[in-house]
Amino acid sequence: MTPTLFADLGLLIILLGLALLITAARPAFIAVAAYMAYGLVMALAWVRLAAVDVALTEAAIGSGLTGLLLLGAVAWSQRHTQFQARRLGLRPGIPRRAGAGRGLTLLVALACGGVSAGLAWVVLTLPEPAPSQVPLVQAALPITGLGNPVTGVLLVFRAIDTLLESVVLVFALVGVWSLASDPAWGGRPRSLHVVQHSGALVLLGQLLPPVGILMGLYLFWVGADAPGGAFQGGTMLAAMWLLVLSAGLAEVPAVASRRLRLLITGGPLLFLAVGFSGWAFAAGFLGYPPAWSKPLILAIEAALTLSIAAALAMLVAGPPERPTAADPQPDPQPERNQQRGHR
Amino acid sequence: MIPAATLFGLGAALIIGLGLFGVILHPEPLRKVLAFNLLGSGVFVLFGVVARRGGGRLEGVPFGDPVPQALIITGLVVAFAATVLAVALVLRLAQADWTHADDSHRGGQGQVPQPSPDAAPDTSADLSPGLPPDQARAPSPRAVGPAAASRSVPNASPPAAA
Repeated sequence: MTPTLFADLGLLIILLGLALLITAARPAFIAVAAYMAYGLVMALAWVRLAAVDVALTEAAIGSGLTGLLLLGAVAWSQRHTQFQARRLGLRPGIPRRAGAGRGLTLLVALACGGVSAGLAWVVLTLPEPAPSQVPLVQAALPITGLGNPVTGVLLVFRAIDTLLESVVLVFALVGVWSLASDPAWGGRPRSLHVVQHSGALVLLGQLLPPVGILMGLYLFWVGADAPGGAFQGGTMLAAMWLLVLSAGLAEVPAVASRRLRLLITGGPLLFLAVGFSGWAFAAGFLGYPPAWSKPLILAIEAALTLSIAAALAMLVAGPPERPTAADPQPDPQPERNQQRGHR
Repeated sequence: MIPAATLFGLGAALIIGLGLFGVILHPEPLRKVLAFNLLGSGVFVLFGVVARRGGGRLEGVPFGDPVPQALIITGLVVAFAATVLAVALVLRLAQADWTHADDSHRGGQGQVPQPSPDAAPDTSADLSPGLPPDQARAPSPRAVGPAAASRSVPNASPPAAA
């Protein structure tokens, strides 16, 4: 057994164990924590699959942001369920919904096992030699002035995918914001609101952002020639903003803020403008004039990085809300808080 | 010897099966969303295996096919956007279930910053526009009866409004 096979097997066993925990763990909190760990181990697996760009995205979005979002959602639903149970005089604790019966569970398990077996068979019988787009990309990459083929695919060869993806983020945000109740519309999202700011969180919120922002900008800048790019850099910036917001060092902007909306739509709009100007100055929609391709790509990436950062952070922050009694109250009298906690 | 790509491909097949199981059988909506992410992650790895097989080695350093890799990055971001929307819908649904209970208790806590009466119509009225106000405040039909109250809190019928 070679050392690399040993390492791959180890990674795979950890991944499968965590996947089992995500599916089977009873407390939702443990399942989400396992998912965050799963994302980080998966980032290592991506490196083993020679996909460093994907590894960076997986660690940042798949593990970090999704984990933060789900942790927040689990905490919210537990807090509200207990609060409502208390005020309605029902038994406290989280109600457990009835699961499926044993026969149905077995049937579904068999069906899912069948899907896995079918996919495994497909993996084992993939065509040899493997079909590849590498020669095409390598032949066309020098024209773009880029050194990183993944960035080349994202911003030149398949630019339409990336354009639509950046628009999807804006639409998702529109969808989330439109879930606000009428009186809350235009206000500030409150899900990042915490009762007492712990010293550790405030310290991290002051210490990490300078380093994190520098790293986010570096990831964006280096993306032209090495692993990195707008999505990885933007996620890093979003994470730093979320850290500052949840440490209470800055206020979440109101969703009616014009500056915020301009920041979020700026990247996709610039991308679209350059795309349409391709009809006048280049081969067609989303074409770049050859002499200008590198500066144009960098400009689009810069605008996209900021827009992605703002959109991702606001997506995690959730819809604007009115303060409710179930929210942690910024109560000036600590003993009242304690009473509520112990009741 | 099994190449690494095949090994991870087999793992991805198992992960997809586990995720699918969770999506179908988990009773909690948030857990379904989580399982769906697991399922998606397995699909991405399968894509990554195809990308690795299409790559090769350049000066000893392995590289993958950049086209599937770029699609995976796009997929990760879109999956995140969909997850956010799903989670927001789940939480809003829970809120809507509780709105009736909230209305009958409003003002009893004394800690809620009270919105001004004209600026804040009850959200329950927004959710059931076809009903007259007194019926809109009643518990939803599926939650009527003591059995519903003991089954789960969000569906519980609130004590009669004073």
